[in-house]
Order: sequence, then structure tokens, then C-alpha cells
Amino acid sequence: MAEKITELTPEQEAALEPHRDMWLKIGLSTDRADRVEAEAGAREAYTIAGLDQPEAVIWLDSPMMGAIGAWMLASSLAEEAASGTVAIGDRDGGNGDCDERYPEVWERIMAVLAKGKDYPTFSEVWAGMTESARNGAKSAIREQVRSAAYGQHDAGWLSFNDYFRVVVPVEGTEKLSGLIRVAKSCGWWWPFDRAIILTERPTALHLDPQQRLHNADGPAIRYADGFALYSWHGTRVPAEMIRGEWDTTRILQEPNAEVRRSAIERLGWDEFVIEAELKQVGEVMDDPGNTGFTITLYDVPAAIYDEPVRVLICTNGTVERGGTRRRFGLTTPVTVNTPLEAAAWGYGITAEQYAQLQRRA
Amino acid sequence: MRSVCVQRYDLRTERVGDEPLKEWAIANDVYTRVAIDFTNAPIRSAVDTVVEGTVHSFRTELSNMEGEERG
Repeated sequence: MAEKITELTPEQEAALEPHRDMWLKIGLSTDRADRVEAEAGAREAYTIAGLDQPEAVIWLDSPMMGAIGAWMLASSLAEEAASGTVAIGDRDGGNGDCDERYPEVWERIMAVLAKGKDYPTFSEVWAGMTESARNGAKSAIREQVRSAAYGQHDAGWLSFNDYFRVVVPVEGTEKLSGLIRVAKSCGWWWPFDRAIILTERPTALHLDPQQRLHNADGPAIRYADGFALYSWHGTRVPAEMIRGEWDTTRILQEPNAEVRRSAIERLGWDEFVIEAELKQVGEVMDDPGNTGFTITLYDVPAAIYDEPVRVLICTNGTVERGGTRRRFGLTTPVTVNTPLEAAAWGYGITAEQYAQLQRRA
Repeated sequence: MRSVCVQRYDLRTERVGDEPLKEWAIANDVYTRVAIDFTNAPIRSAVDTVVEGTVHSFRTELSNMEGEERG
């Protein structure tokens, strides 16, 4: 056994940051998959694991399509269809509740597995399934998340081991070589004994400066097939909220407090306090910390924050790139009674001290 | 078709064979030094956020579809 590593050399220390940044780029990449390299890496992973090589490689567009495809393989539907043993039904009957993505995934899989032979359409297979099997399909697809390898999204743990593999190097970590090649080349993947499902990376990914998933204008993550995730500064939210389709009534009906707060920010506090008819506390005051702008304090019903708070509506001291200044709401305890006290509370100073400020940095 | 595990060793939990990686190959302080740079770095905070978000969205979308079908 190799000698235990007890310290890093200066060169190894210096390699930490670039290696970490390289893996961050891999994890967040939206480039098209390198299909040749991904397939080679997957095959290497099979070899290292002592498994026989799979016959078929199937490419799909997203984790969602991948999981649907994995269900079609795990349930044996696809193999039975390829061998002509699957039960089929009347294509015009019983397929009304079939998800629109199933037929597309089916065609991609069968194009590989059927090897040019005729095969039934997914509608025929779906119609031939028992009602119980059809009803259980979504649960079975959801379960495929557990058996997925995350490809590029395995960067969190692969990066750490890859450092010890490449930079140090440490005996044993070479076993990760195949998995690392896949991670550097594509998105989620599913290994089966006779086939591999590999998927594309996202086509778009948006983070805010704090590295939280965020996009005010559309999906924070989007894949080529339309599978998408909407997020507001790290809080996952419904698409309708990001699209601006929520009014004050809908916001107040939202049971999740984080989503509710995100929706208020999305709408804008200025608009929300008017539409929700929040009760103003005290007078509108000039902001001593931000000359030329005012601060206003409002009561916020407990229904919004799950606890009684007040909100100070103020203007950002920093000019945005477009030349505007963002108005925002700062929640405060109900113990503050004036806008000045609320602003001072936000800085952890007294109202008297805040009143002496000339302008925020 | 049968799902297979392409990772018969368990480096995800930093184990090779019966012993954790740090026990047989790397001194604890070196292991920790590197772990801090990778674990506390944006890789985990950003990429794992993407994974969690994707898994969540995935489950939500399937649940919503089930709800629509039941309805």
C-alpha cells in the first residue's frame, strides 16, 4: 500500500483553486453533451465495475425524459416491444391519460432497441397495459430518480475525489475515471445491464450573484425538451408566479411562506402595499441615509409572514445598471414604530444615530 | 431490463474496501484541508442546489400531472 499522504506540496496547494473552479464550470455547464466522450466514459465505468458492456446507448434530452425512458426499460415494456411479446391494445382506446412525452421517448428508445424491425406505437402499448400499471407509471418514473447517476451534477463529490486522483494522486481513486469522464461530458444517466440512457445538459441555467438559482424572466433551469425549473433567489416557485400571473389575492392564498415572500418581491413591494391595502404606520419620512428618497413603514398581516411584522419600503442606495434604483421592502419587528426606527433597526443602530447619517455607502 | 450499479466501490462516502479514504490513504488534516476547499466552495453550494432544484421540480411536475389525471 502506498505511503499515507500527510501534507500537500505547494504545487498541490496551488492546484486546489483551479481544480475547484474547473469542476464548478463542469457542474454548471450548459454546453451540448460531448456524446462520444460520454459514451466512452460510461463504457469505462462498466468495465471498472466488472460489468459486461451494454449493447445499446440511448440519448434523451433531459432528466425527465431520462427517467421516463428508464421506466420503459426497467418495466421491460421496451424490450418486450422489440421482441414482439408486449401486450398491445386498441390505439384509440385507453390512451387519453398518457403523458405527451411518453410517445417521443418511446420512439427514441425503440429506434435503438428495435434495430430496424417493426414495433408497436406507444399508444398501442399504453392501451395494452392494465389500468393499474397505467396509474402506477408516474410513481414508477419518479422512482427512477433514485437509480440515476447525475453526470455533471455529481460534481459535488466527484470534484473532491478527482483532486486526489489527478493532483495528489491517491491510489484507489482511479476507479472513478469512467464516472468522471461522463460527468465532464453530459447530464444525468441511467446504467442498465443491456443499455445505457444518457441525457443532455440543460440549455440554460441562471444563478444570482449569491449562486442561488434565480431568473426573474423565465426558467432558472431549462432543458431542450421544455423540462424547466423556476426559482426566485433560491426559492423554487411556480412558473405562473415568474410569468407575472399572480395578483395580490393569489399571493395571499399561497400556503408556502417562502413562495409568498418571493411573489411579493416579484410583484414589487410598492405595488403590493397598495393592492393589499397594508396599513401605513407613522408618516412618510425623508431617508437620512439616502438623500432625496423617502422611507415608509407598513403593518404586515400575520397571514403573509406567519408572524406579525412590519415592512419598511425604501430605495436602494446603489444605482442599478439601467440607471434606476430598486425599491425594496425590509421586514422589521412590530416593536419599531416609525420609519426612522425601522431603518435604524436594519443597521443595528439607534434612530438618533441613523438620523445623523448623510448617505449609505 | 435490470438497473446496474457502475460504482461497486463506495467513494461517494469516501470508502474504498472497508476503510474510509482518509483512514488508509490521506491524513485527516490533509483530507480536511481539501474538503474545506471543495465542500465549502461554490461547487457544492451551487451545483448541489441545481441538483436539489431539479429533483424537486421533477417530483413536483410528476405530482401535478398525477393530480391533473385524477381530476
